[in-house]
Amino acid sequence: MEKIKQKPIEKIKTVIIAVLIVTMLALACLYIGGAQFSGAGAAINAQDMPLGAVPAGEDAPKQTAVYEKNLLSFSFIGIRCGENGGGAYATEQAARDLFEIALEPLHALLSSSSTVEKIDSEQFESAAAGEKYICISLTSALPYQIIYALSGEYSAPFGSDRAISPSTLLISFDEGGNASLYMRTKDACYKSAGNCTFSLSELSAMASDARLYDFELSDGVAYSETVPMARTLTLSRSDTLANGALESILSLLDFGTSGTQPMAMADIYTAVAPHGNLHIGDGKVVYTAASEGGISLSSFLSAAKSDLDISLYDVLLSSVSLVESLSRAVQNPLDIYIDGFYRSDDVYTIVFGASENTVPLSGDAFPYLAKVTAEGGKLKSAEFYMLSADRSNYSVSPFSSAWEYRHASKSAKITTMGLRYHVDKLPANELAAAWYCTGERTVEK
Amino acid sequence: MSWKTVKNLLILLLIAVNILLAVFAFDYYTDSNFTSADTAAGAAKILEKSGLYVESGMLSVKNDTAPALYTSYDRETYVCLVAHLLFGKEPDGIYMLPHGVRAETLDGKTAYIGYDMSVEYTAGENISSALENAKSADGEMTKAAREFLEEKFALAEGSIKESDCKVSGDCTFVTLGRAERGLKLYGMECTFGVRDGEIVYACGKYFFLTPTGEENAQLLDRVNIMFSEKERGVRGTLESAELCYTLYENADSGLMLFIPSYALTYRDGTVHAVNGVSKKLY
Repeated sequence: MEKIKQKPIEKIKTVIIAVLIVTMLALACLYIGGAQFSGAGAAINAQDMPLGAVPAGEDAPKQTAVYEKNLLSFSFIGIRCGENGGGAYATEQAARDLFEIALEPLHALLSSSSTVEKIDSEQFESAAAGEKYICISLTSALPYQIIYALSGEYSAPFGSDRAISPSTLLISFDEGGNASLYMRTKDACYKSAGNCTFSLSELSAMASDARLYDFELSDGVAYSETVPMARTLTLSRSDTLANGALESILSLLDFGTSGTQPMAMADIYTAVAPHGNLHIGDGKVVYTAASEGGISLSSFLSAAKSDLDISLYDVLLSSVSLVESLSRAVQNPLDIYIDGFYRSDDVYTIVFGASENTVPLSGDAFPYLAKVTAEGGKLKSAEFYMLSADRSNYSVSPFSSAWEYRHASKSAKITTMGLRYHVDKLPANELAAAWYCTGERTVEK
Repeated sequence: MSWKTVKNLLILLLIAVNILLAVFAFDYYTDSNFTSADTAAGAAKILEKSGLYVESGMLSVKNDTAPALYTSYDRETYVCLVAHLLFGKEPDGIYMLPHGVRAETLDGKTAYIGYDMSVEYTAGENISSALENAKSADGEMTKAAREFLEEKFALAEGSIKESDCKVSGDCTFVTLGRAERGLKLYGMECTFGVRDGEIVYACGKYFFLTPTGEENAQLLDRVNIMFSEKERGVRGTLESAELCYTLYENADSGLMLFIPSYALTYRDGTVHAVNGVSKKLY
């Protein structure tokens, strides 16, 4: 084979070509990968300081535990101790004082030191006909684990192979002050007993509170002839974000501000990131995770945790943290409570409600304040309604709950009853609270 | 076309592509590490509309860089350490106060040590009068006093300037600031009095610990920092913007963080320290 001989000049040209190709590749890498190599740039976004870091000498803001946030909402509470007794709607201070005291035995009776058994409704009625008890009508039925988490410091609730989501709770006391908890769900009754004693003298003193009024308890539903008062609300959809709110939301949900794409319509924002997308507009903040994406729930917790180690309690804490942060960002004017907590396999759905002076808001135009779903330790979706509310200076009194109960029970077996602001359209002017009953079929006034 | 011609064309083509890429890469790195004169001028105009006057030259600079530093810290251990440093021995009593502690010895020495790093300590009644005399005195610091302070505060040899010293009789008063990596610790300045190899006076703010670790910190550029001032409604004429460190305490992780920040001095004398990472006012 004939060997091709190159002249020296040709060899030099070949070397030059090789050097130029290498240089070209290096420059291309440097340019294309610049964003990765560069440590600084004008596109850097402000980052929050680590949680708990405060200027030296200042005290870190007190971390409020989840059970101190009044997320467990009730509509009525009643107490009986011998001849004394009475109840109050949650809108009144007397009810809130009594509820605070009742949380201690309630929490103890839901803890792992208690045992639970299914009972028939007659046993529940028998306890309700007893002489010493505190009964609580919750705004919404919640799993007992969530009631446990929202009523005191979380350790471990009792174990049960049943999903127990009571809407009525009755803490019954015997002559020695030993407490038992009766729970009424939509279709069953349960009793939890454990090592929990309560001072009968304290119970008697609480039952003598002059602010309480007569009530009846029938089929787990408490009602009274006393007429509650509730302020009227003027509600409207909030479409605009306050200064800095967009930045806070983007930072909270792990979106860089550079990803924000203002759309043709004013005040509508969308942002896309590998983990999901965000839409802010139409009075809502909506986050939807990409099919394999999502945000680690641990990023909403104070301590880092693997996605695989996220427990039911962590799901609760992270969703509360997320909704509180969104609420702060959009300046939500209403109080927050937990309206529902559902689990299906590894998918958790947490529904947050909004209330004004403990009276919840619900309806077609405002089904809930926020809804969060999580799966596999990741946030999969979040929906938050933005609402502005003006409170009027005068209050309206609906019918008494006793009148409403008698009226509604003619056509349905009532299982829960409470005041609600029924928001079927927005804007709503001078919206008054009304009784809202659930039973075998919904009857609404 | 011959192979030789192809080679020549290829070389020309590659040279052209390389020049183009070099220009792009240069532009990219220049833009990402510098605030351009145009951007700075535009930003200065926007700021001016809000009553915030900034020379565009103060914004059109190479972006600052500094790592975030940290050291282990908890209040209880720290105040004991400072008391020991001031007294030269363990305090005999420490009393909790709302924002700090009062440390005492049985021989009558008392020091207030604040959690905000403030220190107030006078070893004897005659110290205050010595300080007053020192303000008008022209004495020279002794070598012993200098060596004592340098050793006590782990300062580099010769770092104490004579202009920061005042001498009255056997007492030497030195005003010390704190700096790390050449950047001042914002607000840390303390006057110490030394006599016969012991500290007899301390008044001011001083952080006695040195950082033990560092992390990369992504600093915002000066344009963003000034826009954060605009958002806070600040008005005035900016005289200087200096990179410094501010101290952040994190009780959860038991750390004291040294966060790169900007000390913004305005013409009316007000100084704002703005966190260079979070752009929040310190």
